[in-house]
Amino acid sequence: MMGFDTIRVIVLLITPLGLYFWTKCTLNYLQITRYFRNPGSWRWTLIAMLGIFGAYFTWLAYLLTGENFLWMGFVVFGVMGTLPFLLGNLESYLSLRKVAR
Amino acid sequence: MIEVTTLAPFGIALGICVLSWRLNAIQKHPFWSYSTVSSLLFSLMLLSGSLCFLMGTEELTPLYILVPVFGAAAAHFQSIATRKFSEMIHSPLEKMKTLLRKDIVVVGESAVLTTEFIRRITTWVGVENIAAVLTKHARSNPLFRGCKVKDSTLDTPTMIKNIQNIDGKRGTGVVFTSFLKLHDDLFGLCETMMSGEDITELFEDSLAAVYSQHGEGVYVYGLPLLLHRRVFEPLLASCTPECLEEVNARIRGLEKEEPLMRTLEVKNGKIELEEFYRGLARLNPDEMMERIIFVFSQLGNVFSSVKNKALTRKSERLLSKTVSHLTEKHPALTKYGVVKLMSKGVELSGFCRVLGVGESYLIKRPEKHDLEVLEYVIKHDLPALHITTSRPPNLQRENISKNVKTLWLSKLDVKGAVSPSALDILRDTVDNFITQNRGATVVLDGLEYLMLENGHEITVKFLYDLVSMAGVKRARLIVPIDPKAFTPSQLAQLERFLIPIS
Repeated sequence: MMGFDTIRVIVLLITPLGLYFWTKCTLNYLQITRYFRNPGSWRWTLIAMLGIFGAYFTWLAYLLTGENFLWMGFVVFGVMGTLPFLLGNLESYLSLRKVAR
Repeated sequence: MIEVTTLAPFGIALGICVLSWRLNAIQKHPFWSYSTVSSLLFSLMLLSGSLCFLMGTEELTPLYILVPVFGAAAAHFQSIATRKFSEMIHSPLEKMKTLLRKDIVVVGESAVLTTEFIRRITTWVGVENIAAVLTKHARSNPLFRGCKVKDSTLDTPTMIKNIQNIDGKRGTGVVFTSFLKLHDDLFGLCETMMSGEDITELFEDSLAAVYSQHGEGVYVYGLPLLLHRRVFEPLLASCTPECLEEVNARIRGLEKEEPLMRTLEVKNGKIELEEFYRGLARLNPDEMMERIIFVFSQLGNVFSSVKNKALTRKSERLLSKTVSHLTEKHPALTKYGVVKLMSKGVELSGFCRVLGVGESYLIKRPEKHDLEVLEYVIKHDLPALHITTSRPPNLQRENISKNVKTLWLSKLDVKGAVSPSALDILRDTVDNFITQNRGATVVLDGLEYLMLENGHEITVKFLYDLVSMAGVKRARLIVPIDPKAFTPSQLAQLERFLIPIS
């Protein structure tokens, strides 16, 4: 069984790695938006990336402080980080299905 | 209990995962396969995050460590997915093109075409000479600036970076003209080793090869260059100064009808395509192909109507040869009515006569209803709707090509059959088909049966609707009939809105 502080320390140690990958991913998305004729849905992707960062840091704050009300931030940022991706994928799916037909 | 809502983001992420998986099934591209893995890991991160909220922080479990681990892994896979996506843009697939910026698509297509052409000429002119031409352009042209020359292939990623620094509105024009200059130099290089005819042949082969992978977009750049080399360069070579003046005067006369004509004026005995491509770049991508064919058909008419009879004959001969050649070697161009390139008043031979888009034809050929044109579209996998009275075994054409749909005119309630009295269903089917398939061919084989079932007047009204649809939606309608089944007045009525072919 891992100790109370060990878990927090491990989480804090892994966080920079996650931050590095998410930043790299955001920069790639920023590059992609420049290729599109109608970059609308891809710009929404950037809002989603911010949502993901928000959700992760709210969760981290909860882990460090133990404040229960932070679940609301997690839900708001979580939805913000996922919904644009869902809508973007849905749009691509519908248009590609139309083209495929 | 209200904390259960923390599971909502997990649910949405799972939806993303399912959609990515479905998109991968349609597009079969690494972007979607990596996105599927990434969204799965991301949903696991959100699930473990939600469970942490539900369990509280009094006693921490190893579950807490899973949140950053899944998060980092999800980001890593998504990062790979976006990198794969960028790679796909360097050589865009047909399904992607409608989403991408016009100049980016044109860079991809022109680069693929040029790479294919370079591959074909390398054995003739040598790698060093090609590398010298590419290096020269990499130094002087803003599109090719900084491009690394490696194994005689073009550095598309650098070109895509360069195009970002060029004003978006001018981008497509810059790409067209940059590649035109590069091709001019490559053609010049080849001329030391082979004839102009052979170079054009190699360029055309590259065009046909690239079309099969990247779709019709490659013709937007390739067709004007091909027509220029095959038809108009030889014509200009045999023009006298007086004749050139007459040609220019006629071109200027057509400017009002088609502004792009102005760009094809002959200067110093040559047609400079640069201006033409700049004008073309300003058009909507959907109308580019038809405008190219229209402009060059007008130019063909100019050469065919000059006073110099020898030039007129040469023009008609070259155009006829080129059109027959294009319909055979580049069947996709028939969707855009490539046969219209033919000079006014000059008849094409065989089935090429019925290949105009937006036109409707009446074929009076009782002995052979099995049309050559249908064989042609099946052979080349072009979209066609065949409405026929033939019995089911003959409907097996449907299996030959996925783009050919066959409807059997029959009162039997079987798959693929439509009642001859259900004209509304037939009308809707034709409308849907020609809306979804650009330049589609509709063959209505069984007009006599429709008349028997619905009467002459109703059938003619139905036919008139089809003719209007074909005209508006740029399809072609072919109606083969047995003239003996119609009275002279009925035949005359049909010939009023269908082009009769005997």
